[in-house]
Amino acid sequence: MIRQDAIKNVGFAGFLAYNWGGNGMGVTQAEQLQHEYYYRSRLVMPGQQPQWLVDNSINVNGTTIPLSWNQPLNWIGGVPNASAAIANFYRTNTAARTITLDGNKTVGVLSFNSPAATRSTPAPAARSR
Amino acid sequence: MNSGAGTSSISVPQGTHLLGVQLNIVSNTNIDLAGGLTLNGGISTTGARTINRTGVGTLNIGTTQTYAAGTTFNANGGTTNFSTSGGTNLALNINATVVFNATQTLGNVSVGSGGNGRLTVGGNRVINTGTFTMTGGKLNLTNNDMIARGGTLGSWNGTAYTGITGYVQSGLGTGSWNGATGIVTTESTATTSILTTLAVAKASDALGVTATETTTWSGQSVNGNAILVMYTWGGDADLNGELNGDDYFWIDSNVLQSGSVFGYHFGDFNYDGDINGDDYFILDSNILQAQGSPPMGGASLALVPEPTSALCGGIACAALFAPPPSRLIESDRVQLQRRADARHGALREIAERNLHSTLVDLVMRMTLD
Repeated sequence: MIRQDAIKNVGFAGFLAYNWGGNGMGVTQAEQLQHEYYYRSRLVMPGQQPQWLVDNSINVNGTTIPLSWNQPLNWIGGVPNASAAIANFYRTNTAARTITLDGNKTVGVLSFNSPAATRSTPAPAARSR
Repeated sequence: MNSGAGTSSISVPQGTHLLGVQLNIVSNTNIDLAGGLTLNGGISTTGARTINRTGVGTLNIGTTQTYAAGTTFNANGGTTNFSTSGGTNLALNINATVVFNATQTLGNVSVGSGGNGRLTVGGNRVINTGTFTMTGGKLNLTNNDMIARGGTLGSWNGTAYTGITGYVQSGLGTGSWNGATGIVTTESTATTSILTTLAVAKASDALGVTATETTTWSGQSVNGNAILVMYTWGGDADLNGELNGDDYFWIDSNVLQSGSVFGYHFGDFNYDGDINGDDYFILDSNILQAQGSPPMGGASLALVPEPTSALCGGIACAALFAPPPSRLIESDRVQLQRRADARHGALREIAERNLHSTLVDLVMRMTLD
């Protein structure tokens, strides 16, 4: 079981205690932020619509998560890809970002609401439906 | 974009964003932009879909457009830039600002109130549409051309032209292409002088092709039914981009039928419903500068100011605009002489009937020529 899953399993209170209470494992602040991000990305409130979550590429447990549509860690509310699905790029960009569309995707609502530019580029043969 | 039976939406509340991937419209889609959106990966539709463009922002369509038959694009807000052709399956309704940066082959074009379509300056661009209608707004061709494959040329109804000729007449306004609505040009050689204009004619008249024949005009294949609108020299009756004896032939052949024959091609170069000395004046004024090549834009042209009425009283006007023979090639000189002789005879006949006093003045001018 990876560390992040362990944190998730102890719940939010445990998460806080684990990271900011004692910090017995001596995690760095960067790791704490990663863990918090991971935690947020998996606890979705009912009715939460898919929303692009990240600004720049994140690093989870030493692995860089690319800015690609298919990557669940980049979304809160799940990866949008269905008829009438919502894809909301909401004010998360602090600078121009390029997002790779890795495969055809179907959405009903596509919203770009960020003062910084979002650029969607295709992986080979990718289309946005 | 697919919302099943519902309507899909693309919104840009803020920022400038780019879709570098193919956008396929499966459901009717609203595109509401306060910011900017560029489509650089292509846009297509599956089935007859309606795309409603709203908001004050800018939509740039930069690459391939592949629409299914029956697709409608309603430009109802902001600015939409088309840098590629929409294709013959697209019906485009212009109710806001639409800028064409490339030749457009379209199914239908309609300009409504508040519509402001514009072909960017290039000289080699064309709007080639099946039908063309206006209920308001403007279409600015700048120094480009338009073809309405199934359009209506229109005729004189006693007070104004109808059809596409009527749109051009409306755009001409008081003579400087300042009409509140209609087809216009903003080229300075048209707005501040009579050197250039928008000429309109049916292809069967101007090009001599039948409805079942095709020929190439402005880089496009047209048959005799097509209505042609060309940015060209004032007086270019046959819409070939130059002034020569053929243009004199058309006005000479119809001046006696003024009142029963109408249209730019037949000599009504100022769209006032008459074929008279005013139209000859346009042709005579421009003949020196308008031989051999079409106008390519205001910057490269020397303006010929429209003379005052005092200057154009006869002798002074003729002296001012008389073409020096050395500037004409021999064949044109022979043609011009032949046409001038015919014109002289026709005008003398009219003058003898005391039909119009101003035409007597033209006879004097031609006598002096």
